[in-house]
Amino acid sequence: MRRYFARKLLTYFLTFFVAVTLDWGIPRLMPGDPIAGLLSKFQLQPSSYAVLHSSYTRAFNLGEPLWRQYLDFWRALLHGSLGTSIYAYPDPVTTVIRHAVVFTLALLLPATVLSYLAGNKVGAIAARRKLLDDTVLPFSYVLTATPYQWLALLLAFVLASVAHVFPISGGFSYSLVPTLSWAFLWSLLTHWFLPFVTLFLVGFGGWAIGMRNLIIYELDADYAHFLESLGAPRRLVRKYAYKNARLPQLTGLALSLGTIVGGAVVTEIVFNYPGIGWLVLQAINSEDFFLLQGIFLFIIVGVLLANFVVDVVYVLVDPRTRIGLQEGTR
Amino acid sequence: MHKHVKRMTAAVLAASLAAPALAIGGAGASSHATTSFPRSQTLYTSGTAYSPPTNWNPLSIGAYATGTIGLLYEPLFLYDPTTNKTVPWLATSGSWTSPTSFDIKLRSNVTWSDGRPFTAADVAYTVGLAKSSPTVPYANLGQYIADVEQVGRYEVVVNFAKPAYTQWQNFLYGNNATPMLPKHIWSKLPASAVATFANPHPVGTGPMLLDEANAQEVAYKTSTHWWATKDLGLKLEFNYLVDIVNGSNNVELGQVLQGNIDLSNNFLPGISKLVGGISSSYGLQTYYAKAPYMLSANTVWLEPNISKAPMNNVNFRKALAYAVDSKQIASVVYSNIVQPANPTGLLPNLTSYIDRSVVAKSGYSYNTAKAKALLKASGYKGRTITLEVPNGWTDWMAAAQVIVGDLKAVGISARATFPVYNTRVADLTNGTYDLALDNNAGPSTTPWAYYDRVYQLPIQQKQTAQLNWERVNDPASWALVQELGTTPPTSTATLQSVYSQLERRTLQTMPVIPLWYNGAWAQYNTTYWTNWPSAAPTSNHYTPVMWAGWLGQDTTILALAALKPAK
Amino acid sequence: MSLDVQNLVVAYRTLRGDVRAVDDVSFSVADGEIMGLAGESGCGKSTLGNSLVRLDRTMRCLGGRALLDGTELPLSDWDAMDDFRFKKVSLVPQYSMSALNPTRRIGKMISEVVRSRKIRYKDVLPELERRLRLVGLPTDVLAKYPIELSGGMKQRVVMVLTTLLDPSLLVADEVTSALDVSTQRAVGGMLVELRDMGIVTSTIVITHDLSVLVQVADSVVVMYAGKLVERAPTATVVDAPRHPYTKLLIASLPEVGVRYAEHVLAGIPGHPPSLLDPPKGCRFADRCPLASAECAVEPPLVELESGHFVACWKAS
Repeated sequence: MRRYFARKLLTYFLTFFVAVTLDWGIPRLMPGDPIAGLLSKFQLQPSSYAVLHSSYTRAFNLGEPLWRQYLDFWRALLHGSLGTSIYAYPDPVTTVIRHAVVFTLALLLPATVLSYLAGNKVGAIAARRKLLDDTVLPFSYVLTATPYQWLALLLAFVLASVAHVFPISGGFSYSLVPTLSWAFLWSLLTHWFLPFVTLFLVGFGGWAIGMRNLIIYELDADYAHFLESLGAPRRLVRKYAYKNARLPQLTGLALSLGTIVGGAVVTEIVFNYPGIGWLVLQAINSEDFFLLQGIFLFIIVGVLLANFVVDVVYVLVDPRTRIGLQEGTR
Repeated sequence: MHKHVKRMTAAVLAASLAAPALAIGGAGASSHATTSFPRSQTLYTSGTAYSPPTNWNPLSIGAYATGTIGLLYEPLFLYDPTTNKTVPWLATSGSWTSPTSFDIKLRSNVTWSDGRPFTAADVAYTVGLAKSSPTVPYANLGQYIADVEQVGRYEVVVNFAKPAYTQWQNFLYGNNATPMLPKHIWSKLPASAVATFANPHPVGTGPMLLDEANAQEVAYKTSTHWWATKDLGLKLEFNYLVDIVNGSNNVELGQVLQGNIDLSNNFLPGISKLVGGISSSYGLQTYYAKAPYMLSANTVWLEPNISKAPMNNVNFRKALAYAVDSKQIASVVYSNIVQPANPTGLLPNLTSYIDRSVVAKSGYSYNTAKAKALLKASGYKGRTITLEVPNGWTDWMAAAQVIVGDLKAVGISARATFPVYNTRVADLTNGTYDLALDNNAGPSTTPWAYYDRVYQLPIQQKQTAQLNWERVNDPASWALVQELGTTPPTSTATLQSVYSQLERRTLQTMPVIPLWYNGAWAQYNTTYWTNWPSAAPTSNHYTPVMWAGWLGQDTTILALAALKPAK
Repeated sequence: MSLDVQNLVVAYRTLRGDVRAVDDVSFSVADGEIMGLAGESGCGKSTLGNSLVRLDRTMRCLGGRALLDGTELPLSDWDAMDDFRFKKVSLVPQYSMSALNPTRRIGKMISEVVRSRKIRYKDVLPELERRLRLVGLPTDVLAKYPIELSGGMKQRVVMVLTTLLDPSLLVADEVTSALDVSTQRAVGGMLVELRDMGIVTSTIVITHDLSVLVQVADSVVVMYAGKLVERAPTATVVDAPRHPYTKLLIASLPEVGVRYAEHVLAGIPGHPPSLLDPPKGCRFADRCPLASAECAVEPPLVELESGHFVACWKAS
């Protein structure tokens, strides 16, 4: 088992290294000079321009040759620094990301976990009750095929613009100052709700369909038939089927993490919700490749970490994997 | 799932929901006693900030938050483009006492927000940074200034080694005017940090104090110690000003219509249809009640690359000028919230400098017959030229299509391209483009900055200073521009003669083709505040934009002081 | 009689109509009897055996009945059959290797099944452990996952579990088909022992392998194309079969000591008929060497001697 995890960690580190290199390199493929772009938005005197250009270039290390910028990046990374942001100058990238990431986590974790759990439960019920199957399944297909941003716009229009039940944009009310008060927490919650519902609904559809199909498959498995021939009540057969069906769903969860993050990005943009997805757009618009690098790195590490967690959980819940590992190491 | 796994999951979920509340940090000097902004006491603005407020250093051009200059820091003079007059602000007067000495008299009852008095020492320090700190934006002044004398507590004399009238004028008046800095705080900083440190606890002379900042907005609280209340009878009627970081245009429009934003400085296409008339139920207003609705803010040029054929031929350039129908662009693309430009390209605030006889003689207008004749005279061989416009600037993209259509109609083979913004900047800088739209000619107090931008020499391989992107090599005109720099502002006759010559030469050689003036986008919701800037003969005719270079240097602060509660 | 099957008809529902896999079959199994149910693939023997315990949702009982110890088995009523399953009738499935839930420890699974049948696990545990030892399994097998056991071990666990509550009728469906000969012998011996120890009252052993039945069964029922063609004590079926099909079946078995060069194995040419639209007369007619005009009418099952039933015009 230790060798299994050691090998896994090595794979993760290799992936991390390659991903970081690509992450560093790709924004630099963006055409043009970000400092020139930044300063061109202001009508400056030529002398002022020259002064500002050189000081910003120095501040961002952009004058160095590429290989040195690459090494500096690794050195800074190992010290926990991701550089300075152009978009939110002079805040360091880690600060900008830190403020945004809590919003995204507040969105992603509940949406992913709850849609996974709810989708699995409803899918399992739909597998054995025809009425539910006839209603839930087509609805789930529609949901899972719906683009996140389209659903987000629809919810924003109906519930926010027209009905005024929820706010249309922002992470919290513009008239409140962030403090630990009930009013502020309530404001956070109402602004969080529509983006959360968007991510939840789309995810829910996919999990419900998957689970429903898996349960139908499991209910027809040999062990299910055997239990039935022993007169076991439906309840027990369903319980076993459900527990077994959850395993491929877990793998599916790991595989879908990338898509979910992408969905969060577009959803946040629609609602102007200040998470890292929204920050990606701001960074692109400001041609701030330090911030972009930092965000992508964060997402890379996050997805790798989540995959690792699912790997561990999978070994814990599936005895076949666990035992297979032990036999492998003997 | 095991029970404890379930419980752990629930705890993680709950914590993740509460996390944003705990993790939000923010700058802000004063007390955080304010937990919310009462609607009737708050002015909400938007349309200026595209990044979160993290910097309040007035020298960090490009990075400082909305309101830094104007609400916190103030310059010596304001400039009113609608009357083309300067307004004494922290200074009571400024004049040339000799060709090389400029005398500034200061107000005597101005205090910094930490209670210390504003004196000549602060002005001397701020101006002196040009010599002591090479990183300040106005560092080039350092070579012209000999020294700065303090004459008593409220008077400063700046002595020049060499004449630098235009650069000094730029420092004092207009959109590049530099605000005064508190010596007692800033002199403690190392010279290299002066222009770049974030200044999270700003101390200024202005009407507001920094209250709160986060990723979404910056909030200011009205100060009770503003000098202008006593001296000029000005008072801000709102207790808080909250400037919201921009989201997408549709969100901004929604917020303005709902009354969540009082002053929006976004470009909102179609806004003309929502102002007044049958849609007055929205309570929206703009500066003008009819076209062009907005004050003019900068000139949009059709910029030819004169280093390349066929743009190097003067008849070809003139053909371009006669071929484009600016009126059509203004009405079709902009629904008349912009106005076609004067042939000289000078903004309306500089109308008094325009020599009408020159325009009458050499000016151009939309005339396809003349365009065709000029095209023939130029010997144009039919090469396809590209017109570059930044991708995503939807109004310019639409305008580019109209222009290309107009060019084709007179026989010029043209097509529009939409590179990413930074690529477009690179193409202009490197001189690899054919035609481009450019609006770097912003407002200024005299035409000097305009012609400085057009004729700047020498031409570098990379025009990184973003001047003379059209690469016109006209030493005679450049000499005239430089003459402006050495002619005292008091010699108005000489100056006007130079301006006339420049206007004539520009119209005769057409290095750039002015098309229309982009607007100082401003739409107001009158639900909570009234007496907004307008052209109507009421008290508030000041500039209505919070943009950097306008809020603190033009008369927006006067506009804000004129606002009254709606009820 | 322990089990009395009368004119049982079981059909599969298909899109093109009902396929009568078991067509009007009657037989009985006495207390203490092990009856073999033989025939080639598709003859209906598995369907017959399974329908007595678990009538799959795709199958329907179209006629006839089965009586166990005088009580009619409610074959078509799933919930009513639950009262009989495991307690009165039990099935050792064809798929014993995959009959155990792979993600559950065996002991946990057994305890859950038993508890779901309203029996206290504590009450059956000692007996369970005893029986495991009886079949040569260590009791710690209860703490293991199925993946940790070999195929043979799993087979034995399933056998122990299905007979745990001492059923009146045990149906063993192709339990030796996937095993090597020595394990086959061990499993066969287990079946006999279960009967000898009184754990199981009657047993039906379903197989296509007659040689197993010779070891284990007291009587043999031969099925062909859904019909019961011959029924007799094992020795009679092997030594003196009366139905042409049975005769050909026996003849196609290889003999010990005979070599291919000397004696080429003969099969039975042709295939069984489709049961979607079976022939009107004797279903074996088109492959039968003795077929004649009278075979166009279906022969009834006739008791030629005591305990020997044949369905063939030529036999009587």
